[in-house]
Amino acid sequence: MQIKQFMLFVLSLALLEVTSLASDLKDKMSFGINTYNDNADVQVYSPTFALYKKLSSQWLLGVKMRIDAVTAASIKNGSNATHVDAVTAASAKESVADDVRYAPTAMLTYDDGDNLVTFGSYYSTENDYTGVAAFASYVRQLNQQNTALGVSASQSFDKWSPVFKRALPKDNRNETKIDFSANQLITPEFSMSAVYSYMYSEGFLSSPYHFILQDSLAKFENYPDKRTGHAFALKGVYLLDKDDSVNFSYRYYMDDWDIKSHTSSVEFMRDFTHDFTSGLRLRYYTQTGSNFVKPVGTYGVSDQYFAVDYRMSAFDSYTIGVPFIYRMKGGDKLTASIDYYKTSSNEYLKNWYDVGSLQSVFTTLTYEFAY
Amino acid sequence: MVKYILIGSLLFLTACSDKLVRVMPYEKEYFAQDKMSLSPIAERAEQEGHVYLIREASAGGESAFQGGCGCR
Amino acid sequence: MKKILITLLVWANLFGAGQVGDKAVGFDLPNLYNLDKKISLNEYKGKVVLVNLWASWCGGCQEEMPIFVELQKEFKGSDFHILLSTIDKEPKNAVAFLQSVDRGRVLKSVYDSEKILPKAYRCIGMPSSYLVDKSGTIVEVYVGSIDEKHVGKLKAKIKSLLGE
Repeated sequence: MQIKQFMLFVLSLALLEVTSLASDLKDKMSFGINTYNDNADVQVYSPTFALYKKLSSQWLLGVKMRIDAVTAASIKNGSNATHVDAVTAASAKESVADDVRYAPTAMLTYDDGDNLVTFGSYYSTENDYTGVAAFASYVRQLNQQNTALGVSASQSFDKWSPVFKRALPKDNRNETKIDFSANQLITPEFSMSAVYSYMYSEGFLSSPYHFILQDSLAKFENYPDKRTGHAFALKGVYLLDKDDSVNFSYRYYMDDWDIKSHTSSVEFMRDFTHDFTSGLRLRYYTQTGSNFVKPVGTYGVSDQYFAVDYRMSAFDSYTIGVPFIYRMKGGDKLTASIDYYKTSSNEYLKNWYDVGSLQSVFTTLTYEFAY
Repeated sequence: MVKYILIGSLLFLTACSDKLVRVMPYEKEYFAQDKMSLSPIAERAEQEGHVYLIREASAGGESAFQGGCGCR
Repeated sequence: MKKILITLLVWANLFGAGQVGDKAVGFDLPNLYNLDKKISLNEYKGKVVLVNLWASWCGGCQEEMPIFVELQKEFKGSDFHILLSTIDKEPKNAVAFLQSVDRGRVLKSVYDSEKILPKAYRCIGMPSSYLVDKSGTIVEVYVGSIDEKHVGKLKAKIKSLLGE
């Protein structure tokens, strides 16, 4: 009976002599620079570039390029101020090792106002890692654009080639991700979204450089070669008054390595003038450890899996940041952000990076304009 | 089972579609503003996506509108 | 029975005011450029009018405005008039945008603070345009922005309405 109703509704739309024109695609270009610095000696400077060109009123081609200039990253073979590198015996302070990652993305978008389809591919290459991925997404607008239902999928085929030519048990790392999302306008001042993500990874899932050094035990990190994860997120944005708003989100994550996490964030935004918006963002993250991580120094020869990466253990983190949006004449936009990130104390952070907790600052600065 | 849930949800959404038309097109002024976006700065969302993926063990929950980044 | 009623209601909603064949919704609203003075649809009796519902915050409205400026210039001196109606919360935002694309003030706009016209026309998208013939009857409805691809057909329709 409900199907009949739906069919009648659709038929009646067809009878209306309404010429429906839509789509919001624009020719746009942007230049940006992102940075990341932390107390584990990692510094990344990332110039970004994006170009979007309308091929017709409903088709848009986009190309993006991100270059990450990394210092003191994975190619340091995991050494730090107090640990010598297991292979070359060079310590961190001596080497000024650099790695540059190039990551171009190309995508094609179709938008007729009711249907938004995007598909594209992503490629990244650096000294010791190559990533290739394809992605597609579909968003359908319903109920006079009050409801949006979306599905997206991506598949990546990555490959390790460690700098010191370690023979890995396998050198590939494939990841599948599928997202389902729904967005609903509740009132003219409030909207909410729900997202479910499914993630499946297989291959070499640890780092080729991490190792465990205990009395009578020296082993490279070894993780299970499969990982299935699920994430559920709820988000909302609410207008407090004509100049102020708040957006908030909560995500629950769980996987078959027994890692469970809660992520919550809240952000206040204010229009200080007609052209300038800023605010304050707070994020809290907490996770459990995996089912194979053990306290530092307690692994045994008979253990199947070894983890020395702090991410496999329990910890929390906090982020506090400020966003800036400056709207210029002709629709150009200058955006910037600065965020401070800090984890809780973790024995694996101490063990590997010789820091009590990881602290970092990351920034973005982008100029976007129509041409 | 999943098939029935999906079909049921679709029928539910279309059958009570007039209840879900809660904001008329001419009432959407606030949603056009930057401060009313769920992710007001796209570049920050991408940058923090990389940071959190590399610094934490969780992923997912981003909007379906973003493409996969393939970062590790 | 309930299902038949619901279906009829849906049909009734869709076939409410603001459809082809209906009379254009009358109004008497403040002039956006001079809020103390009013503009009435009655002033355009016997003329061909394109009533456009817009707002400065609507992307599609911003894109089609330069096309409307050129369209009105092309029919200068004729009986065709474009009549804009903005629902911006702050009229100064609408004025600022119009002045940036229409320095010569070729286009006229009213200020509809109470959103009377979108409600009366049961507008389902922004922008919406209604082509009204000399007898005051709606002959075409456009939902979404009118771009270069569609303006040709619109011009032909306007010429045929003027020629009647």
